[in-house]
Amino acid sequence: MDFNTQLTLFSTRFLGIFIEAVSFLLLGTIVSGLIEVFVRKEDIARFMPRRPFAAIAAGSFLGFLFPVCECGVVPVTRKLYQKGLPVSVGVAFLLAAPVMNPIVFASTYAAFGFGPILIGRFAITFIMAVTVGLLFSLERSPVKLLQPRALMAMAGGSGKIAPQLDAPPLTFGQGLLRAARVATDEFFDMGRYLVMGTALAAAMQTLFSQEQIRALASDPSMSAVAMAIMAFVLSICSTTDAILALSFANFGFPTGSLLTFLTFGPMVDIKATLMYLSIFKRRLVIYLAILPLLMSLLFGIFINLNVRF
Amino acid sequence: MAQKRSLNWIGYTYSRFDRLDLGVGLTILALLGAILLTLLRGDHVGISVRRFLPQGLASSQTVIQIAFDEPLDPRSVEGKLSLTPEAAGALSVVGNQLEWRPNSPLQQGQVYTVRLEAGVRAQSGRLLLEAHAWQFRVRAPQVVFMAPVDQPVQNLFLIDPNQPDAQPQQLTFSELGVLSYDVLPDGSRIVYSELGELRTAHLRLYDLRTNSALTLLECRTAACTTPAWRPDGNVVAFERSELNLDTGAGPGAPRIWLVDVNTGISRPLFADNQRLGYSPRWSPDGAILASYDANVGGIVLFDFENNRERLIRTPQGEVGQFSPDGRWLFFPKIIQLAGTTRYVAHFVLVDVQSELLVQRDLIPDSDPNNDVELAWLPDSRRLIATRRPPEITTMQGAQLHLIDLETGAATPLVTDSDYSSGQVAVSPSGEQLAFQRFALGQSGARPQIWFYDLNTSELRLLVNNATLPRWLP
Repeated sequence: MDFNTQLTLFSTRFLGIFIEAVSFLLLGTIVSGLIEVFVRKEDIARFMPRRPFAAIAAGSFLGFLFPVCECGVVPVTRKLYQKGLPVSVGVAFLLAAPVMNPIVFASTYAAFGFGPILIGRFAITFIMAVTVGLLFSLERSPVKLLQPRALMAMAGGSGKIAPQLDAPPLTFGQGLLRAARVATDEFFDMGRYLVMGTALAAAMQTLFSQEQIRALASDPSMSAVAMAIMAFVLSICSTTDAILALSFANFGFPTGSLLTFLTFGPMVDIKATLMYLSIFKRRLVIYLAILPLLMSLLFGIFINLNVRF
Repeated sequence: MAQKRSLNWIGYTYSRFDRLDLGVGLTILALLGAILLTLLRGDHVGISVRRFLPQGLASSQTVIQIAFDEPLDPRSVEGKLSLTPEAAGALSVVGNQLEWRPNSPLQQGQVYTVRLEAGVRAQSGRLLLEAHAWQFRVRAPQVVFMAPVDQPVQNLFLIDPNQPDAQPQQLTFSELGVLSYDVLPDGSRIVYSELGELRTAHLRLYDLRTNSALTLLECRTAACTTPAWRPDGNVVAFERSELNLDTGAGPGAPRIWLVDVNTGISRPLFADNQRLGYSPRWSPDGAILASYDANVGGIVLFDFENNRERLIRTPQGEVGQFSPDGRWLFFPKIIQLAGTTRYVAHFVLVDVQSELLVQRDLIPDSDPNNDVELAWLPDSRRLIATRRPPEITTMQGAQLHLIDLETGAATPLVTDSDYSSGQVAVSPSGEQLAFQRFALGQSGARPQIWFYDLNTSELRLLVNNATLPRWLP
């Protein structure tokens, strides 16, 4: 393939991923702006269960309250952290929300109907998100986990707890205006990660042969690895990945491998991983990539080798 | 000293990595161990059977198909498939599908048990871990026909010829009518041409295994008619006539086209769009397609194995049928009987397996019989001729005779000068005939489908007001 063809392919794929993702990022930043203005720290504290496991489990279901995909979930999580959400709960939300929301439920149901893929996708995502969330609860200090920018905004991003001044109450119109400003800032802040991630994903897709990956479809273990790689490289939004998974199913990829694709992809892909850097310290981002990868592979391979559908 | 160094290392490690790091590290190790353990335990699922046919009732020519979720290793299926009671057949593997074709028709009314033993291997190395078995019953052959003849719209019907009181079952419910059809040799599907709007005609498939119909090819600007199955059921040849709807020039001459049944993709047989053709006929092995080309004045034999064409010159414009063994193809010729002004039709047999397409006459030119149609029996050594003997005039009906290929000797089968017979279809076993009869001299008579048993000479009316009978194995 000559350079011009590759460039054309790259541009097409870049625009394809970007246009799909940017709308969800916009939605996420709007939700983020609304949280900033209309959700108080006390509200978070009041509604969050006291016990860690219950809180993390609840966090993984927050997607039904904030239905966002993996691009939109990052600004929402960052804002919730600024509102005092425990890190472990936020991690569970971050990983689970792109799948555990009504939109993805509907799209997965439309593609596969009510069956092992739909049930497996939600159950495995829940288990993975809660497990990672519980691990992150081992560290109580947000300062050690989060980027300064993701901490209290009032502290100027220093990570130190600063006293919150009593701001004068806003009218509803003023609140909306402020939410829009916050959303705009968030959008441009997160947007650069999205652009970089999208460019990287498009480049990988252009240089990477999907046919070679598809050739691994019949191997129960390698097909799961192949699906994990595909999920990471393709960076498809979780709201539409079920349709793509259906085409993989037609290529002969087994159920376990499809579940690897459908659970790992929404948690970790190229663009989402780069966006995580806006919240978490680098070491944590690595954990956030490796843990879901290994867990989704374990589930996928185990199902392929042990469960007959 | 060593113990102190070890404690220092642990202390260093602990101070450098906090609880989260250690927790994550241990979790990663545990996950890697679990993955390794899962892999070491091996495959407890293997390859799966996705689909298997036939189920319930099946034709005597049925092909047994087993589709898996992965492409198979052909060597691994040898000796793994068995039928009870035993039947000889050919086993083949294409992609993820295993097929077994019987060498001879299966026994009617018999319940067969198909068993595929465990151990069949996919190309990936995965195995079929459990044997797969099921049963089906072979039904008696049926007769398909078109009716009612006296109405502008005809549809396809089915009747059991072995049950005297059987009522026809309507298969298609076309509003504008069925024009022509063909039955797949294994009896599983029928392809038919259905009239559409503006005189267009589309190809549709009727699946007798599911009793459902679907569109095979929609011809929006053309009439696609006279479909003919390639015996393996993967391709249909047909005539396509452009209707020139946009120019109003009227329908064009037909060309031979092919449609892939699996993909629905169609293409002309010849790349040159000036090549005309009609009456497509497949050889039994599906390697040769015969059609008549009026431009060159002959039957064109197109060989798909080497993309070679051969021509049988004949001005009659008719393509006959290949013999079941694939050796012969017949076509008619018109001759003037010596010393008379009488013209009769005789049939010529072409040895299509010979390089020079050697021809021989079925009966000598001096024979005064006038042969209208021919149909092969399964042994390829006998034919059913629809014949007008010399003592009857052209106003009288053609009668059925059994012709021996070697000697040319004719045995009258059904002779009744009050009727004219034709459109003979021979049952898969070669023991029964379904054919059309028309009562001459009766006002209001309609074409009828009759049944004749070659062993018992039983002759029976199957259905009135019907035409174009074909056996459904």
